[in-house]
Amino acid sequence: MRPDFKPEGPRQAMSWLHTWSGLILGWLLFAIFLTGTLSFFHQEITAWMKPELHRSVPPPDPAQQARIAVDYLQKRYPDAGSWTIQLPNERSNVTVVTVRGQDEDPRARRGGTRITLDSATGEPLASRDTRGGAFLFRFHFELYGLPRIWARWIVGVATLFMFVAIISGIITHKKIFADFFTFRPGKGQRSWMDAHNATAVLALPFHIMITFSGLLLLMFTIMPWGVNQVYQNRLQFLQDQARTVAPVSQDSGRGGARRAAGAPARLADLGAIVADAGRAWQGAPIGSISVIAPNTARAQVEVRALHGTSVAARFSYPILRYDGLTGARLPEHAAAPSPPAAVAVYNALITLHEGRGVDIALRWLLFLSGIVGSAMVASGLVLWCVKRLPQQQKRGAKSFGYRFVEAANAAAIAGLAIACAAFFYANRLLPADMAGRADYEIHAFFIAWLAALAYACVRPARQAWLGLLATAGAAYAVLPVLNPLTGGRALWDSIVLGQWAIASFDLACMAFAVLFAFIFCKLRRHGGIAARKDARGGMLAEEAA
Amino acid sequence: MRLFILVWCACALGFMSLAVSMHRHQEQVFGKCLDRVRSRIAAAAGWLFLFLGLALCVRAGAPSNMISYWAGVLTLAALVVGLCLAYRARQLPALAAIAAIVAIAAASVS
Repeated sequence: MRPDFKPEGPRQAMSWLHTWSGLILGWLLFAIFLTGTLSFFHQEITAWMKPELHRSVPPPDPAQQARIAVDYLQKRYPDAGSWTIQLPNERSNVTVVTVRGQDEDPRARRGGTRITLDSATGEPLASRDTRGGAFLFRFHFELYGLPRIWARWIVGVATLFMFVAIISGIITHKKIFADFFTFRPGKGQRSWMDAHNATAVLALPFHIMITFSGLLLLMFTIMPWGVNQVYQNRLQFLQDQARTVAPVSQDSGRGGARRAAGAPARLADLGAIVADAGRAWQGAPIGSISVIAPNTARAQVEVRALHGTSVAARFSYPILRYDGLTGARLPEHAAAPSPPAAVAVYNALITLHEGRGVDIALRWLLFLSGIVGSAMVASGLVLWCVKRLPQQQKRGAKSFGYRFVEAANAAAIAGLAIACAAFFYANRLLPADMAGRADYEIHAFFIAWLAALAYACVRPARQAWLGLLATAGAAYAVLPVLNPLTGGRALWDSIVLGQWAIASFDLACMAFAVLFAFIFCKLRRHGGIAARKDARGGMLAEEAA
Repeated sequence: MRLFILVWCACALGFMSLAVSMHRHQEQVFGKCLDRVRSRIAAAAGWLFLFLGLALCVRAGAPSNMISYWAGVLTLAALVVGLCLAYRARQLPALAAIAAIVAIAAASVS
């Protein structure tokens, strides 16, 4: 596609493909990447957005946590068909109990009555209506306000383009190993190129994993034909898949619940059971405890570990079973056979993408890689402008297309950060009992994003970036202060009390505030030079300015 | 945390050795090019350290989890080595010494 119609080599062709496929979907990809990255911590975001729950400070001993929950359940739901108790953990400071009736499957993933308890006192806690982190999580693959299928198609196509951009980028960038550590700051376009390459290459395993697994997750939407050939309908396929991918033992439990409730009998001490499970797992954290047919002669207790056995085995968690009357550990089921290689690879990709059942260390690494990935997309978008700026200046006036990309870049990158902040502010500033407040929080997100776009359109590029960066920096700096003022647990207390789910949100806000302030200062100091850059790129890129 | 420190130090030392095996970075760090034998040794040491990091990881848990963990730590280690080369190339040997001392300290505390 050279303007002079000379033949082009494969590398030039790839470069063209990379540049334009990257630009067309770059804004959407940045939004997907950033909200997806935040979704690694969607539980923590939700925890922060429900300040009514902040007062729950779990006692350190899981056995005690279990006893407190059981006391509540015995008082309120002694005749339930089953109880599930999710203990507080490193990502949550509350206990969540699920109560199911006699005729419900005790192992169902949905259904039942969910009650959030104060982990220390066992009192039920009510919280404000909010979508919390689930909004960002849903947005990253279903956007908002569009029919679900359409949105998944749009995201699927964007993911496909992302994969194209990664592969064409690798081919275009010929000196991957020679340039592996190369970042030359203060050299304009060169620096942006280096930053884009570095953020791409250094986290390349992550980029490939997250993009390819994103495609796998949307596979049945964008490539339904194989399934349609073999199965009558989608449901049949999913059931069959669940059988092969996750051979969870469903035998005893289902039957147990369906049986008559049995003669009343006294339930064993769950505290002792939890303590035994803790010893058996050598201190690995306990996720949840299910009590099937409590207070009957058939009572059975299942203790499930918080972290999965491995990312190669999806939905597979270490489980210990106990007799509900004597509290004795029952013989373990034969271990599920390890999945075939293809299934294991599929499982590993999907589990890492979803961060399901991975421990907090790996979660942080995934999050940081996601931030590097967002910086890669952002620096690529900025690079598109920086590269074309001299040409635009030669023409004397910026073309409409160039101006559009410039404004859209500022709004898509800095504007999204402001939109997320607006979502958090709305969460705390709207009255807690307001009708439809969850929707208004989301409206605040989009209103702020649109306002950022409008601002970027009317201001010159440099001023737009400075204004938006200053707004984002100030917004995130104030959030940790707003938290205690609107009923949340202050940072100094949450750290002392070990409520890391809440503390890490405040700390992350402060880190983002510092990041935006840093880029702001870089850009302002840089001002005035002809080949100025529209700063922002995160990590490495901002230092280029 | 101990595992993270150990693996990070091993990977950072690996990347530093690999960087020092390349002419461009030899100039940056030492102000001159190293001879071929030394470059080869540096490259070999680099790969060795990276695989040491992998071995430390895999020993500590389910292989699929820990390979993912290793890949994540690789990114963080390479990022720091890259930034050091960009801004403080001459201090790379000092960073290497610190990483080595911290790694030995972390390995001996248990």
